[in-house]
Amino acid sequence: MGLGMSFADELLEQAYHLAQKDTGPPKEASMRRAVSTAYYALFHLLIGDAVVNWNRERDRAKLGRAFDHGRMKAASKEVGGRKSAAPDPVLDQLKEIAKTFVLLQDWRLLADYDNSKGWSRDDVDEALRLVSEAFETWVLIRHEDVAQDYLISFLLKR
Amino acid sequence: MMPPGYYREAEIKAAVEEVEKSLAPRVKWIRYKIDQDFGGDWAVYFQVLLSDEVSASGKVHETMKEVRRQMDERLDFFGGLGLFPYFSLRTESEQKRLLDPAWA
Repeated sequence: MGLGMSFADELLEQAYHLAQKDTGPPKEASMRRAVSTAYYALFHLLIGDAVVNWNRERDRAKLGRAFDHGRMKAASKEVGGRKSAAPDPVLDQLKEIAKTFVLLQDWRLLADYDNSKGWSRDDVDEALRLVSEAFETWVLIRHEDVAQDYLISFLLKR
Repeated sequence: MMPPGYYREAEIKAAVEEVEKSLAPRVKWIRYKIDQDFGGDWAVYFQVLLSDEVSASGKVHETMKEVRRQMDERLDFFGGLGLFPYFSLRTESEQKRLLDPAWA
């Protein structure tokens, strides 16, 4: 398990809390913070597993700061659109995670900066379900070569 | 530079109509807009209006998965169109409550 995993889990739990805390019509602020927090949960899940490959434990947190949202999005778009000649269930699972990452990053930016967009509870619930699925799938494939290559690709210039 | 999908909107429109038919009455309608996303990358934004029955039966996620799967089957977003597909949803009653002009 990566060092970032427990923090990522906490963030996802926090996202659910924010999404469900309001009884009656949800507050816009709760919905926006839930979406943003769900994105960061997935972000930290992935970078937590990436930096755990670095042998010197004391440098891992510092290394985590090297990950750039834009590069991670570009890497995720590349994976999301990848095609395989033969059926490849692991790649298919990774593609879903990558697409969720891109979607949530855009939503996080909208949630944080675009006040013209209204957020419905259904929209937010769907975002949380997608991130939860990404967490579950990642646990299954995280040690596969294609998943590890995905993590490395976050650091590569395009 | 505009992505290929910008000039192939007829394909997107046809796919949307097919998926709407395939998933009616759970899906009331699907609209789309080709635009740049927050990071400036070209994308197609799909808005999916779901029936309240879908929400009441707890099948929102399952239905959205089916929408995404069927659209993926019909359109080559990444290779051919050069557009990342973003999907968002509303249920009928949420739409009425929010009065969001983007969904009117």
